[in-house]
Amino acid sequence: MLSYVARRLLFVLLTLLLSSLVIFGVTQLLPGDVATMILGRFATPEALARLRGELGLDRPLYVQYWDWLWRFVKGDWGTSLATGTAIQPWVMERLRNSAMLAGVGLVMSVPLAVVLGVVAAMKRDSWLDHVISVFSLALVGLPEFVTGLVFIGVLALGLKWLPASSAIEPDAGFFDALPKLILPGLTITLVMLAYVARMTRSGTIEVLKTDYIRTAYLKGLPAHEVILNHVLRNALLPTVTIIAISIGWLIGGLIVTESVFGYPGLGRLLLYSIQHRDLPLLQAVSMLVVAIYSLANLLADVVYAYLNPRIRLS
Amino acid sequence: MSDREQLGEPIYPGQNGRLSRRALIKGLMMLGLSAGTASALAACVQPTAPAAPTAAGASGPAATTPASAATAGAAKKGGTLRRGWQPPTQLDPALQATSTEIAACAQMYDWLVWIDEKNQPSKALAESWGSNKEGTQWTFALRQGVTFHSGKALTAEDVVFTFNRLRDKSIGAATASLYENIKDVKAVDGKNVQFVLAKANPELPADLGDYHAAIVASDTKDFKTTYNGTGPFILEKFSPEDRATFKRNPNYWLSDLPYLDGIQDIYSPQQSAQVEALRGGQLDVVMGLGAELAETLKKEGKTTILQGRPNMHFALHMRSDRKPGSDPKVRQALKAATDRSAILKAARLGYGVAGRDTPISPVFGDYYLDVPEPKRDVAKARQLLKEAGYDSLNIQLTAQNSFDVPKIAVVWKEQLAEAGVNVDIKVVPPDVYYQDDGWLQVDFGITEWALRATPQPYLQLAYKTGAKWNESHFSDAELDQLADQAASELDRAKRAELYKQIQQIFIDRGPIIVPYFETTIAATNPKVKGLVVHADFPRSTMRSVFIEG
Repeated sequence: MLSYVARRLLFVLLTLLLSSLVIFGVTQLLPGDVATMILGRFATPEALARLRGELGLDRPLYVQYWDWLWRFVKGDWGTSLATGTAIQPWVMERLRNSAMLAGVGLVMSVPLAVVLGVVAAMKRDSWLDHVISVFSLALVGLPEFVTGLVFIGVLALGLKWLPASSAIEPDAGFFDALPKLILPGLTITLVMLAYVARMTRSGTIEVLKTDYIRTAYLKGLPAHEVILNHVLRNALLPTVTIIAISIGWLIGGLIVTESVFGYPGLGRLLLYSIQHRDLPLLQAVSMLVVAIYSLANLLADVVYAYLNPRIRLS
Repeated sequence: MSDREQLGEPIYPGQNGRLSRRALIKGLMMLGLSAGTASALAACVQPTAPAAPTAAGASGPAATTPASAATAGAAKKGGTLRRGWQPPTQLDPALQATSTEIAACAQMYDWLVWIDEKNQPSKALAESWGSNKEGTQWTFALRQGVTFHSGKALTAEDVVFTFNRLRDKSIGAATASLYENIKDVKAVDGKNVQFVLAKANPELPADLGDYHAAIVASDTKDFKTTYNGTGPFILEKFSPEDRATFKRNPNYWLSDLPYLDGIQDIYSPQQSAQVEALRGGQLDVVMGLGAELAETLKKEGKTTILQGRPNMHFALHMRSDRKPGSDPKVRQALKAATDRSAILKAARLGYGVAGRDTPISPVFGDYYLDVPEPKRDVAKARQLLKEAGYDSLNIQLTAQNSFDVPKIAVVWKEQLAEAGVNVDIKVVPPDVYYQDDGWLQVDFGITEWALRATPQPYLQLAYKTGAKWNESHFSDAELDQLADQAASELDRAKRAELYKQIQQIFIDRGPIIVPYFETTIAATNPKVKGLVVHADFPRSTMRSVFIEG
């Protein structure tokens, strides 16, 4: 098991190194010029040249890359071109916010999705199964900016149950922020729901067909014991993997949801850095998001291996 | 109804559809009455209104020390005002470019001369000023006892430092060319600053009130991390993708002000999301609203809708150095076929003031030539075209896809069709419109022009022969001469006369159609009081704003 994890970890490091090359390369290809962005369309050429020199943008690319990567590894993520302030604490604050939202999203979506998936599998091909499948698929087809705005319109502006904007205070604790996390959490839930529920359903159906489940029923175990002790443990294996992988998306990829609700997370920070050509910020956030995705995949692999002896012992 | 009367319409919605006292006072003041007379008249109309203190004082930025005393009775102290803006890029005052940046700097800094909400220069950090006979040497006397947020006292050195930085070409500030005429800035003593000019400039005070010219402390090293102004609010925290947090400056030089404990500028890219947050009570103020959003909010009736004075204008330019625009008859024909008020109504839902085909709006006060809006006359348009040798005419109009420009283009096309002119509209993204000076090449184009403090920049930048942004390639010897004369005429009354002659030239043979000047729309929570929307709306100060109950 340990050597398995070590091997996977090595792959993660390799992924990160390759990603750093790609991220650095792509940020060089972004249209537009940082100096023009900062100084405006009518700046003099002298001023632009001076600023490019100050930002080190006139050095050869490989020097810029190596300098950036080395300082990034050491934990010096540089300063934002926009504000001149250190990037790391800023990004870390957004990471904390993103983690809070991801946590709320998971807590809201996973239990519901698993229950729906199991119910659909148990009542396979019944009207209930069809209703669950059609609804969850229809909902996953709706983009987040639609569901988000509907939630805002109905639950926030109409019924006034929850705040319309999720712009939490910078120093808000989890429980202060919680009311503002529910609407974006619901929006995430709709996306996650179909995904996780369908995975659970097909996993459960597979297991229900096996001989050991038939045996369990034949030896007279009550249905709830069969489900809890024998079906779920085996059926949820693929579901757990899916959930672990989606953590990467939940923390680093919620650009649309965060923008709709004005939530200060990593996704919106990434969007800002692209729109405002803040390259150091863009590079730092992208690296962090890649790292989160890689670690989420690693987590999925490890959890899968832990639950599945065939992998763990091979 | 003249423009001035239009502006006197209830800017603040009054109860039961009646003019509110404050709106009335504001309207009367705009008619040129003094504050005292206006408030007395208002009292006559609404005898139940309390006689004192006068609400006129709330019209903020122009009013200095006495005004604060006037509003103190009604205003409530404390509270945090949450405003919605789009994310900024940075907050160095010399490099301000977007509304968000201007709106933040307007709270942190003060200006030597403040361009007030009526677009007129008024006293701020300078208490008085004057020039020599020739208008080439100006001296500004500083207000005493003003301190920066750091505690440092304001001296003449800070002013010299500020303007030398703004004049430095290597900084990249847009002011480098605006202040090219300044030969030297020096501190006469701790209190007096002298500007020595290459040639006379009667409008120097207005030029020094440019929004970039926020007075900064001379010991500032890094303008990206230090925001040390003398303004009513102090920046506490700044995350450009999330929010900026400001707290009250307890040592502000206008005693009693500001009323608020703090401001939060909350950033989100979509104005619709800001409006949702306003409706949901998570924002208190959204400024610079689109007309449709404003109408929706107005119908809902739960927010206060405020309007500023005429701000930017849209110039539909007709290139005058080649056919067909080179013939003044063609230009006049196109003007005659245009119904400006109809465009204003269709494209901006009436939130604006119809133009007179000059860049000068009523907000320029005594410089404005107050003539009625030209009546649409399709028969005259056809006649003029015939005289110019056209039975019908095909033209291409390049319209950038921003603001309400495409709507203006479509309505104009319909109007011109009735006069036998076929307008082919080409809609392009704004960056394409301005890219490689494309906008300076096209025969017909619609360009947005920001509000300036005096008419002179428009003439110097866009209408004098060979001017840098002369998009219409207009050349008129008489206009050139009058513009230069106005640029150096020290007597304000004579200058106003010159500007009026210039506007007549625009009307008679000028190269632009100005359908309208738009007025800025702001929406606020009804509890927000004392907000006066500046003609250049992001510059609206929050120092006189308070939150009721």
